[in-house]
Amino acid sequence: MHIRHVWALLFTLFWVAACGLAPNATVPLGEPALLSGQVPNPRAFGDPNAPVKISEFTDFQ
Amino acid sequence: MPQLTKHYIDTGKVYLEVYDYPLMQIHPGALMAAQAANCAAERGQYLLMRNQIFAGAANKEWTEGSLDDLNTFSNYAVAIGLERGSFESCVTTNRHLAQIKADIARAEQIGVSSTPAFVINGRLMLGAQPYEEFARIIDVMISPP
Repeated sequence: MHIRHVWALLFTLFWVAACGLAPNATVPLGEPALLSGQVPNPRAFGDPNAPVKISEFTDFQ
Repeated sequence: MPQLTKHYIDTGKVYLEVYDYPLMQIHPGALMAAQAANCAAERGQYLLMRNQIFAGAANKEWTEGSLDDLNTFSNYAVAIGLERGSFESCVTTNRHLAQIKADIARAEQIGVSSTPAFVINGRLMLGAQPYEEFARIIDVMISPP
């Protein structure tokens, strides 16, 4: 690999890392996606194509 | 829930999604409980943690979201196979607060004002219901008269 390519690669890696670590980064590292948006949803049970869909709202107390 | 699971969820008739609606003004520990449940959910252990939290609430093992309650939730986490350190970090850094806020907004948009509340194919039902009532409503929806 040519030395210029190495520098370009290192610069790119540094830039990507800096963007992720910057205080004002739009997507902070470690920020989880909403559970309800995940597939499969870890708080959902059964076949998503089932004829009856129930949403339960709970507060545990 | 076991009967609903056996007869309707496991048979492909019902899809159940759970959302948080912590009534923090009257249930000060509900927010931490929701955090704990969601932290278990991200590890695929939502149901086990949910069962632990409900049983613990009935036994007054946790009440107000204190440090003692965090320790109680952590003990639940360890009991279901989660690692204490990462679980506590998840709870104390409010890792799923955005999810809980989104759930609350959804609930209020629908008209939920108390818990438990259920929306069954768009029909809002407030308050705890016996299994038989769920079965009656679901059966009608699956096979209208």
